[in-house]
Amino acid sequence: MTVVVTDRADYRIAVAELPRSTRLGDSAAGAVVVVTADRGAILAAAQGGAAAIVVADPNRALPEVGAPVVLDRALLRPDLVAEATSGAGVPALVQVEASAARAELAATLRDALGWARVLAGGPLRLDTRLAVPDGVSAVFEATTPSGDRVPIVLTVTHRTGSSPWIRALAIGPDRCEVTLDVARGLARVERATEGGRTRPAPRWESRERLALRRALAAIGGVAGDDRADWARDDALATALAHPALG
Amino acid sequence: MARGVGIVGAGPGVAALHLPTLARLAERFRVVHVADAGSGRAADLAELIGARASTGVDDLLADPGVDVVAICSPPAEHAGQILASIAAGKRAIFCEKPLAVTAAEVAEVLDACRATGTRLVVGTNHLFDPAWGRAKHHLDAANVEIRSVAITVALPPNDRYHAVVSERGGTAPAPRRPPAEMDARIAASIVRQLVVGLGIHDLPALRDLVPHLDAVDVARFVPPLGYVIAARGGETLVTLAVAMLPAGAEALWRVSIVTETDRLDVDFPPAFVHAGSARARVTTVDGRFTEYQPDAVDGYVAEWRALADLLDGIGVVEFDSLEDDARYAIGLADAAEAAVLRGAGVEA
Repeated sequence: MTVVVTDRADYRIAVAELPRSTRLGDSAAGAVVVVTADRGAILAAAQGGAAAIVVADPNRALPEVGAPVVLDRALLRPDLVAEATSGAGVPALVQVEASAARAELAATLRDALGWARVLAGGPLRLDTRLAVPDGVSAVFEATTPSGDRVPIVLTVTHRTGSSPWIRALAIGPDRCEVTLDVARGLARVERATEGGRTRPAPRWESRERLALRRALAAIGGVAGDDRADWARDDALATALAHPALG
Repeated sequence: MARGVGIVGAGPGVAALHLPTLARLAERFRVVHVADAGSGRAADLAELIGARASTGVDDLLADPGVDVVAICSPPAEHAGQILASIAAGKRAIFCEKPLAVTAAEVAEVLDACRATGTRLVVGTNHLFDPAWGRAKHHLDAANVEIRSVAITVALPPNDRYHAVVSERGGTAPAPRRPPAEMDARIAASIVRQLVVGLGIHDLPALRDLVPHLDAVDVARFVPPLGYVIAARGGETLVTLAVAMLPAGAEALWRVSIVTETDRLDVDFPPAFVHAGSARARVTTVDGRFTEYQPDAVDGYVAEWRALADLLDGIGVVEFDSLEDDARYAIGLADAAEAAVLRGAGVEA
């Protein structure tokens, strides 16, 4: 049983939902430590001997630490990513739309860029950026491991009072559309093939429980580290910097 | 009494689109003549419906039974055939989109139509779709800023849609696809043709939302056959993503509009089919979701009804609007072509 150190109510609930593999505790040594996007807290957890660190709602550059780091990104759940990429071919192009209120726009943009990267199948290179007072569009190109180049067009807009929304669409002979709509409680992947459309069963597990399970897997050496992908998405979000994006 | 229609063109757009559409309006139109450019397909089609057939436009325009000329030929032929129709004394024209491919042609054909009182309808079926009218009304009533418009078109080959509205005769030629790597000038020219010939479906609707585009910042050819375009008009971001694919999922044809307060999706049915109007959905900023009831009438039927109404004296031809629509599309196509070249570092 692994100790989880957290002061977040949502993660305490997640611990309660993992009663045979986790329990709450106070000492970072050998534990999964949950922090909230705080560089100092991440370093403190690592120095305290954390076996793995979960960063909830990351929003800034992450320090280099020895322990595996699992990121809990609100709109980029790894289980949805796995569904979206399972068996996917190289798309002809990817289109992403996103919007949110100002306070959540930067995180929404980063997660939208994450979906662009995931659906395109490789890291993005910024081609062109254009801006208006309340939004930014950009065209990117991704290069897949097989050397295919995939164009991506993304638009993110600020809307007062709006909950985060992302729609990411990979267009090829088969299509994959990902919808994250906080106001409507939607987080879904839909595939369209010549035979019709399929929508996997909803993911009922909380994102916090999922993050803890991934942290446990990371301790066991099973799961990867999220930092490299985060760094790419964060760098591109910075490259799109605009007053509308906060 | 049904008016006689002479159709210039005998390709899939006639066999699988206008003949089945006009069959739905049999009390108002009757196809009496079909002309091709020498393919021989007109005779085949005409025989099926008991119409006359010819090659070239002269015989069709001289046919006294032709009250309405339907121009369904390749886009580059449209302007010349409109002018020839007017010169032959025809005063009712249905022209498939685009009206013309250059601004000079647009001016010439519309001047001729205005001078002769010719009733003209351009087949921009998405603009005629009742769901678009509802979406536009919603936006007008809300009177809010439009933040972004994203137009998405993903098309499999048309055969599957032809097959549900017609029966094909002979062997269809395999679609030609450009190579993935090509000269930038060819890529730019293809993007221009795609905007004028395919993107045109949605450009009059886009003009409804963004009357003036300030800049086309980027345009790229997308293999196997498509484009991405990103542009700005006032304070609105506009993106267009189009892919024609060799196989796969059903067609996706969506106009997505994000305003200060709402998100609207208008999903148009695939080309050729008659499945009622587009689906229009609105999500408000606080998450309320509304889907408008679709209308039984689709944009294809609606555009021909519009012409029938004009011939019955109902309504007037909005020449200024047609001219602005055509110039908008040509302007965007020209700017996209230039942007492809600019992106490739090639002088226009």
